[in-house]
Amino acid sequence: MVRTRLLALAFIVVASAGVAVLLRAGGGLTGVDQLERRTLDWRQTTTMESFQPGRGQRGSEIVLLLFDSLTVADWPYLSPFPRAALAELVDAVAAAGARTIGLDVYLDRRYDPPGSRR
Amino acid sequence: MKAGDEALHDALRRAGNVILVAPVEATDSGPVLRPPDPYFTDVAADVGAADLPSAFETYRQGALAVRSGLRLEPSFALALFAHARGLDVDSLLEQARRWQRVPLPGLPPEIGRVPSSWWEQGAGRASGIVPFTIRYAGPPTDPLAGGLPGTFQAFSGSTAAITAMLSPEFFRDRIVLMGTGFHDSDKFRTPFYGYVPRVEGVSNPEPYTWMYGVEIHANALQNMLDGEYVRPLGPGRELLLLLLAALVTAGVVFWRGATWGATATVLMVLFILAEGFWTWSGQVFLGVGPTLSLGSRFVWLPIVTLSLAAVIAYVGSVAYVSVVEGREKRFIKSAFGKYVSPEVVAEIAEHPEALQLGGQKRPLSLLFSDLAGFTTLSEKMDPQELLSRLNEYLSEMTQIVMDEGGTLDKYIGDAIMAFWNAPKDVEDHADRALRTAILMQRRMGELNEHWRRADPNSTDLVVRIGINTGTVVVGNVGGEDRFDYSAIGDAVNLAARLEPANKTYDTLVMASEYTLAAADWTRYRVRELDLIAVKGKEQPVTVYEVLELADGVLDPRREEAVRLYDSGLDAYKHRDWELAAQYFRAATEADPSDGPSRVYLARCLEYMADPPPADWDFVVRRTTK
Repeated sequence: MVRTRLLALAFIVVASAGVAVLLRAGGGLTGVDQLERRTLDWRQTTTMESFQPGRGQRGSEIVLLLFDSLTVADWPYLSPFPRAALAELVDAVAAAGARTIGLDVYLDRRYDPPGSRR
Repeated sequence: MKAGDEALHDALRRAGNVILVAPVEATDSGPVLRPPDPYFTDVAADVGAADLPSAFETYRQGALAVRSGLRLEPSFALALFAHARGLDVDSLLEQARRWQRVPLPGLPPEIGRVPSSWWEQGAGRASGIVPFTIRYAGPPTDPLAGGLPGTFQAFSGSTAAITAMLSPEFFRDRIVLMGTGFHDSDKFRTPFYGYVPRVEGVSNPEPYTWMYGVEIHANALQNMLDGEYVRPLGPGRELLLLLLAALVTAGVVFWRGATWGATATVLMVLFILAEGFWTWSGQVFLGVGPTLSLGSRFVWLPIVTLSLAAVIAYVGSVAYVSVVEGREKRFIKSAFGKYVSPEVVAEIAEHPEALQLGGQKRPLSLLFSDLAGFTTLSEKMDPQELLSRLNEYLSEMTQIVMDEGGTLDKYIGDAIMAFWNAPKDVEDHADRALRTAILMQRRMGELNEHWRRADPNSTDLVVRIGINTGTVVVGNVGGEDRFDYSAIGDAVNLAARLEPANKTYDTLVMASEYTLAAADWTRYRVRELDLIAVKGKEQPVTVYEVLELADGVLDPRREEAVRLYDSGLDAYKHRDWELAAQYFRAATEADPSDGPSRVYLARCLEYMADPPPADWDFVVRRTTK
């Protein structure tokens, strides 16, 4: 009697864990994984450890330099980004002593023929 | 002035620390990084892949490295990190290829794995990003968004050159990420999308919206700089916790039933929720993190999956308990419902493991009752009325037995056999048997009165009861389809013999010394009756008459008779037949209906005339049942 109950309990426990794993592995079909990610978002946005507005002022090494609407307003054209303008910014930041500069602009090819002047 | 390309080329060369980006392109032979024009890469410090693992809606993952043909290339963030920390990214990735894991400080073991299948023949077009879940440092930063606090220090390209010139400390020794801050195609949803912050002094702040791609790279880089990543549990720990959560809820259902189980499940889900936040924020720990040797914070506890396991285990165990064990319970009910009270049935059904139906030896207190005068009654009464009276009597008496936690063994005509301490444990089984006998006598008196009111000529019924206690075999006795839960043994026989022995002494309730030894004497009015050896038994047993409960009221004449009887019995034991006879005579005069006194008076008179031998042991041997 006790043995049967223990076996049934063990089966139910293992089956429940298994079903939960399958539901999560079911991906888009069950939505469990999406929900799991949503609850992660929830933790990201509501705890002080990860929601740190103003972190930059409190010691992040990272500085963003954004080509925002004010920046591009001065640019003669947008595609490709005017390389001379990029050059000016790289020069300025490098001169200020930046350790590393990341340029998130894809320089797929040269647009000016070699040797040309403008 | 130099042409734009040339100016940028020169600027990159002068700076010497610029990392460029490149997209990964899917080809027939697999993903390939399409580097920028060599004119620029020649003077750049490194090139990183700008691709993020594709997301349906919200971008939560960054990249560590990407597969490009048979090579592993760094992500933009990794290339920046390696450069800023002076690491050799090529040897780092070579190591990653060899050990099938990107070796970064603080990177949890579950992430950063590089599948070896990427380098096998026919890996084909399989996507090739080594992902990790980004621990966002905070909400999107937009220098133009008034009021909303951003995360990183950010400058507009329009003023950055002047700022760098006037206040170079803003950029000195920093990692500067330049990227689009206006373009529609380079902005993404992050967990902060739609999140309404609480901002001091702003009553109705706008929710956060998109994050530009460059800031997602910045967040990925921040994880590497901090050496702190989102830590998934990994399959092993996850399975362990899933089993634990399921075990607790299912265990409570099995142990305490569905209602307790529901409470446990709700508490478990709340606990999982709380633990999910605790393991994330590292503020409080209830042992889960350190026990599983996870980091102190940013552990990604799968709240939903764990809760599901707990709930599924609850539903499953409730289903099992109600269907499978319900069947067992119904069997127990049908097998025991006739013998014991519904409360006892319910208790047995709840804990069937405590029951051994196959038969077991255990101490029981047994009660036999019989109706005196019923046979005479049956001769002069209408059979229908007789049966209805018998049934009324039996149901009343059975009710008392059940109320006292007894098990009804069987009816034999107008006789009742009952016992205590089986199938359910009854600690005070002897006391309950004695109490039942007294209550049955009281009830008999009430029934007689009730019948007399209906019919003044009604004959009073008298119930005689014998009680004994002893170890017997108890279990289901009978054939496969028809069986009784019954007791067998010498102690049963003795109880059955004590009941008719009442006739000799004109008493109503006779109990053996064994029952009184197992009971609390002080709770009853009893008197010693005799030392008898029942038919077929050599071993004599002292028997007692049970008169009332200790706080019960006796007729004053009977009270006096009992007092005199006790003195008489004392003299009798000292073989002073004459003195004993005087006491017994006085007792019969005080209460002429006192049977034991009459019996002893006659016996003393007999011994006065013809004394028993000097070695007589006082045992009265009974030759009839």
